[in-house]
Amino acid sequence: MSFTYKLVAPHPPATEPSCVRRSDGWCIPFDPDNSEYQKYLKWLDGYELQGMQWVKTSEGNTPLPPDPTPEPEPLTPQQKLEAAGLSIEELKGLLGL
Amino acid sequence: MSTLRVSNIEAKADASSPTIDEKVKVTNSQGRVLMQIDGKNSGITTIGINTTSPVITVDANQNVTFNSNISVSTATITNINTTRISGVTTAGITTAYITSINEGPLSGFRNRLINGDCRIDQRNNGTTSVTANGYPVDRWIIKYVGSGVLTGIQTTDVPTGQGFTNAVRLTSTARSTLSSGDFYQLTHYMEGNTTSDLNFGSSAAKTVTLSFWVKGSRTGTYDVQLANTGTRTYTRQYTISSANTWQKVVLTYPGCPDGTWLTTNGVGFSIRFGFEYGSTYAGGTTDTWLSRTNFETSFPSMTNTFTTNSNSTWFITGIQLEQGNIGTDFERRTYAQELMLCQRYYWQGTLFTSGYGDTTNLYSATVYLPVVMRSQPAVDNSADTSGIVANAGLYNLSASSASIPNNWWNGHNGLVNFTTTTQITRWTTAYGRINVFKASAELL
Repeated sequence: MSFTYKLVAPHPPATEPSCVRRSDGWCIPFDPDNSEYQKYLKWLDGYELQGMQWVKTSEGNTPLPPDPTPEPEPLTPQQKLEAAGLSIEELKGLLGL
Repeated sequence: MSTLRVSNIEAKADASSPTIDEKVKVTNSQGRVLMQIDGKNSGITTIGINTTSPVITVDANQNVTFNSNISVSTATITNINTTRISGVTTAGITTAYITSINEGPLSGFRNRLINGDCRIDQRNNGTTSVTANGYPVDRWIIKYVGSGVLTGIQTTDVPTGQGFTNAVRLTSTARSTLSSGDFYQLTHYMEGNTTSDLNFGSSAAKTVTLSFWVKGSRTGTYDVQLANTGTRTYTRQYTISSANTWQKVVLTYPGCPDGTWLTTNGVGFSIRFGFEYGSTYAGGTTDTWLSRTNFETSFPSMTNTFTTNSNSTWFITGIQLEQGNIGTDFERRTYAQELMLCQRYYWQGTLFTSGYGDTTNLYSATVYLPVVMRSQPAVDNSADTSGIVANAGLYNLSASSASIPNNWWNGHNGLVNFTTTTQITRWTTAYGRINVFKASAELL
């Protein structure tokens, strides 16, 4: 079974990806002991598992770049209230309005 | 006269005084005692051989006492049938080959294999079958390449009266051609940490014994290979002579004196129950260590027809690998113990998490898993279409979104990011229910 891979956007404060999403949905950590990461490294080097043997079939592969992480949209005052668990009416009551 | 033949010799000194002690003594021509039997009116009391002193004492109740050492050379003592042996001290016993204690298993993690009785099936819960690269039960993976299909599932078809509740059943879809690189097998990978004391790869390598219960619809011979990662292999065969009949198989493997055998968290041993191999892998001889590259020509020819027929069935359970050359009773571990052993390599379940909203559509949550996993796991929630996060509102999770960032993982605890379908207010606390979270640190 052949997969494709896509880098996962880094989690702040990191600036570089530390895991990769495989096309079947699994997220592979960059841990040398993880067997799926070992397979990913083989894939990077152009190897393909044929039977019980790794065979070099290409010069190498490159994962898809991560999706850009969009900046969070500024919250509206109403969203801020909801995040605080307050309704407008409750806020008005608190402020005596 | 050199030979005396009589039909009866009685020591009867005085028939009118039956209480007198009587003796039968055999001496040589120099008068030295060869054997002396001292009798009491209640029966024989002592027998002296080469002496008049007691060597063997027999009391009125036929209890026998040996007054000196008993030595059994290479012979085997059999048919000892007693309810109790007492007074035995272990100080002088260097090696005891005991198959069971109190008709039960010996204690203490003798079985190096995990889930040998096939009880744990986290992925499929005994309801879903799997094929290539799938785990019909935890720790046991179906591996094949070819035009045929092996389908595996956990089953309750087990050998009667042996105390097992589950087995693995494999069913075939017949192959057409057999290409050189084809193979069909059920595999178990063992972590080097669990085999390191067996000293494989050195002259001190220890013998191990593999035992299991098996039945199959196709008679013939089958390979069972013990190997490292493909450079040292030792294959033995078993025979299914009677179709669809459970049988216990015991196979002993001598320790491997050379080669590289990992003693870390990588693959130490691997065990392969083989059905058929193409010419790349078929070959070699049984019952000897082979030095190979990537398992090439390491599987001796078999006579079974499992893969050339459809609906062939093969069942296995009670699989045990232990040190020594005796196949002892299957070691019983509690369900909880076995489950935790499996969870070092794979965990699946529902998570209840706490975390916070982070950047766009991201829910970062702390996750605690039951045991320290073998490595940082690959994670997945691809089946999770109904997981939710609660904040001031409810947020649905996207499937296939779990990830562990930047080694935020300490073995069994870490930070997992889940993508939500709408944005949670950043840095605000939230709570999540992840319905089907999967974490895998399998060996291969």
